[in-house]
Amino acid sequence: MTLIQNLPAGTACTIISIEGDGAVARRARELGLVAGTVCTVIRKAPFGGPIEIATAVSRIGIRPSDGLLISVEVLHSTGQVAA
Amino acid sequence: MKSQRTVAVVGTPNVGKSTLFNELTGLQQHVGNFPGVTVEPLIGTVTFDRESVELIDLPGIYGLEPSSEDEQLSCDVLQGTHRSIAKPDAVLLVMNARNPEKCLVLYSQIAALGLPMIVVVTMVDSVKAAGGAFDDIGLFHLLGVDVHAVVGTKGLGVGDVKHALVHGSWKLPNIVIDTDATIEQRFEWAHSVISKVVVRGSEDTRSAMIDRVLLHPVWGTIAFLVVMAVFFQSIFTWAEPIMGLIDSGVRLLQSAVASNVSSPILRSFLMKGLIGGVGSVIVFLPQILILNVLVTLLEECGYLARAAFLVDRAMGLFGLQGRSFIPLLGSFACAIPGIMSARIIPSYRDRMATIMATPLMTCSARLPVYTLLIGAVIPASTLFGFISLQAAVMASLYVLGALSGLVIALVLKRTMFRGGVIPFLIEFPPYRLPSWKSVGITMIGRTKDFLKTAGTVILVFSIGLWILTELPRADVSHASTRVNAERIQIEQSFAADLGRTIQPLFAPLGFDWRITLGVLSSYAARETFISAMGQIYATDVSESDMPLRNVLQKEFPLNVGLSVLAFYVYALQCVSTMAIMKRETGSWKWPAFSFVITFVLAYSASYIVFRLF
Repeated sequence: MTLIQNLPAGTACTIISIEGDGAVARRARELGLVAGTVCTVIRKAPFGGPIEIATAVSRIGIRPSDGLLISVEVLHSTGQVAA
Repeated sequence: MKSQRTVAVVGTPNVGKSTLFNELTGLQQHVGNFPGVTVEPLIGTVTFDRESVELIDLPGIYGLEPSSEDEQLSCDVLQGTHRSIAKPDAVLLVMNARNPEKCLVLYSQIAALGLPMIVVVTMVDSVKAAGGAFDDIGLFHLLGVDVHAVVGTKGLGVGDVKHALVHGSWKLPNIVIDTDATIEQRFEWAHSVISKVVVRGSEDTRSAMIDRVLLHPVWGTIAFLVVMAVFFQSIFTWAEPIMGLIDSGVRLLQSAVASNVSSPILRSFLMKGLIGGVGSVIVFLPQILILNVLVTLLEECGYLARAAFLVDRAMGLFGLQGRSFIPLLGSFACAIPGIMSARIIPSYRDRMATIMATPLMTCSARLPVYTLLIGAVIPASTLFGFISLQAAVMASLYVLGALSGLVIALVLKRTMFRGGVIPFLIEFPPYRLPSWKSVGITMIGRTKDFLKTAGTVILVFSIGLWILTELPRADVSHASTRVNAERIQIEQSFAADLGRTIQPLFAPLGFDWRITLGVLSSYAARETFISAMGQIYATDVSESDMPLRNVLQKEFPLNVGLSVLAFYVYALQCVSTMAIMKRETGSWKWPAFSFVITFVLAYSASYIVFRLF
């Protein structure tokens, strides 16, 4: 189990839990990042900027540093790093 | 007592709610005027078969637990706890066929409110085009309320929705889940519904492909800079001819007054107080409109969310988030549309910090003042043999303003607007072509809004300024020329008395009473400084700044010129900006606060510069 921002781009994972600041964690869940959801890290902005993750139905940009801890289980690496 | 039924239009962000609202109400809409409401919802009227229904367009929500000012409004109205907006009689829930999970999760919460409902599903055509299917009758059976499919961007199915709003059978939605269910359980229910009524077509690979370029660390950054350059450039270049037209229209009116009104005092009032004063604000309307069109287009096509993603890291250095970028950029044209576009920032604190930074972005009204003063006091020499010293000073004034604004935002985020940070979390909508009709309707609404807010304040203010500069009437019978007469008038006006009275306040900055008067008159609009200087120094026709520049060159030592420039970088000298700021923040407290901090900064900067050089 690891935090989603530690994964390299192109990794698929299953969300285990979302924790952090109440309102933020809830907003992330409302956007569909709920436990059990399969998602992929699409790309990471340079210099510790936000990361883009994709679920089956939406694409979401998140700044990982902000009191939002998304724990995930790595499924597999697609090997396809989004350019 | 209510005369008509009020229906709240509700949906998650990016479902095409605004487009649908614009299609339904057309130009029959206005910004709701509710006392003490910062975020003012749009109110529209739908007329069908000579009967009408009032629609209230509530900001997009994901659920009934708000995390921003906008969302708070929606939740309060829907729950009937808002203090000035009455609980609606029914709900029109907008769903997106391509992305129905979040919409259904929202449904599961709204259904419990016990309001009659109809559901409108957008983008069914897009699901079908991707080879999928959407069973609206199946959804009707599951939810228990009427379901209508529309293609918002093409207006298909909108007539049916209008019919349903007026004549339709409003049913209470089925309560599908316990009120205390978790979001996870609600998603589970949503998935079960979707598996019954939606066949997903092929994936939207187009957006992913476009993102490979537009979000690429290198190509994406280049594309972003190009978009911004075009954005910035077009505000100026497209607006220029229209501004010229408005300007000549104003002159035409003034000369019509000049030749038809014989009473000198009435003529002066009409020309300078009324037409000139209001004209000086209307002239910025093209820039305001173009900026608003561009922001709306970028938002509708889906790029704005990506741009916010790209600049989020950089904005984070100043305690702001990616979305703050658009208002700040727009403020380089004019702070008014900049402040208006700050509505796209969901977090109240981020929005306020951004709004407080906007007056420091160098707006186009400062440009003529900078041009005049730089031309007058900075020698036309070159640095390192190729950089024009004047251009370098001009550029540094822009940078100084922008950096100072960002630092103000940072300080405010660390102090007044501390805590309760909503981290950057943004959904990327699929790329799509914007609806021109919807953009047009939004534009017309914004224009009316601006003219109403800024227009009334400016009218009062320009009449006040006219009284100050044109009264008491001086005896100009011995004046040799018209310009000379104007100089005599202004030197004997209340404004000159005022300038001389408060000049000691500005003496430490090196301002004499003439500059003080010029600075004071700038509080109507900054570029007024030029005509005020032109009148005061009465060299030649005030329009041609060549001779005026030369006069100022003799009159202003370098330190005085730089001191005035520093003052203009910081000071919030724009009544329209303050009026819009009041409107967008809901209280005069914020424009007053901004006025004070920018004045303190302007005064300190001028003082330092005056002493330094």
